[in-house]
Amino acid sequence: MKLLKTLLVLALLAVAGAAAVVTTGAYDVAADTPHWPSTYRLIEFARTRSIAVRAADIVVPDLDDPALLRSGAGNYDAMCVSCHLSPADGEDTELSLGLYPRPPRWDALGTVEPRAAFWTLKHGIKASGMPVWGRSMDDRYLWGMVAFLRQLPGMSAERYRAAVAASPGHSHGGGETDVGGGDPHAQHGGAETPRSSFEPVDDPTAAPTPAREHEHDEENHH
Amino acid sequence: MKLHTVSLSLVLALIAAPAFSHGKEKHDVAAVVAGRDAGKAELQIAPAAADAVAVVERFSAALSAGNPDKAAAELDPAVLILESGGVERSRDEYLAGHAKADADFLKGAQVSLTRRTAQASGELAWIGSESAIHAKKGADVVAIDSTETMVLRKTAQGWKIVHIHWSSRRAGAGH
Repeated sequence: MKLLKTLLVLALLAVAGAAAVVTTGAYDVAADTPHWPSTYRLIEFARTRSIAVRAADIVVPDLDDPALLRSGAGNYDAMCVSCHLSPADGEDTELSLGLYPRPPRWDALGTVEPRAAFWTLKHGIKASGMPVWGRSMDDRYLWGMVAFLRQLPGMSAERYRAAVAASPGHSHGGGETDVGGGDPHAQHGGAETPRSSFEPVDDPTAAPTPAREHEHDEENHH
Repeated sequence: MKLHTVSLSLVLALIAAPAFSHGKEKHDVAAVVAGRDAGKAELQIAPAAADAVAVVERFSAALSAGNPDKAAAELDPAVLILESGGVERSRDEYLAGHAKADADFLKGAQVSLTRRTAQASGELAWIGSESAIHAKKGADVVAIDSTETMVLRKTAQGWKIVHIHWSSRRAGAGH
């Protein structure tokens, strides 16, 4: 009974301490004030485990599919380089320098396990600057980026530029719009603005990839 | 030898420039002058189809002027419009559907007719048109190759468009 009382007092003290830290503003949220190393390692571990658990059942399509690779090159160039840089331009940008934690460079991205890479692209990561691309892009275009990421380590600047130039990806008007439903009359910017009849419907991957992400409907907000 | 090297470099640079600019929309936004131009078009228009072509021109001009209602006056009430797998089965459906988006898009676009073939037989005329479209999209310019087939029927009110088929692709996307 005495032990229980002691534990209860300690728990109350912990809650009161946490409340004091939060309400007094003692916790420094500045991105240029890094976490303690132990905190950083704990968050890294939690992130890695969180993604691994949620990505475990995802079915990976053929990542050597040339159509996926083609679409991924343009989309990577349009959406990723400002933070993750590229073989063609390895210089830090304001974003890559300013984000905390620092985004992994392009050569490190290629080593990420494909299911984890896909899950991260689709769902983003809280409080990291990594966006939720799955809200605006169909799975097959995300897989295109995953396929392209795997090619990045060791890629020359020339090869990168050629891959982007040959891609019908995002910058070229493909992937980010009218995807998923296969309906060329799908809405662009809200229900009141259908795409004009004169804008091409690009589908860099033409046929849907046979394997799609097998996930449960995720409404489990945290 | 040096001259050959320099010449080769220049040739390669000239070839490479359009190759890397295709579809990436690196045209100058300021260079896009909204409007329609048929000055350089290759035309094969049968005399019997001339009036039908005038109807198509009025329709396109009205859309480019941002006036879908005026354009719709050239459509048969039961017009069938096909576009990239989509379909609109009447004038009213088009007006309630893509007409506004089409007008908004064309209003700011530079449309250059490149080729047109028109034939007429009895009460029917068909007109096939190819155009190069440049349109501003944010800070970019979208370059589009657009093709259009229109079928018109002669009615008591004159030629009316009874069928349209539009198809577009990014400029330089191959054949």
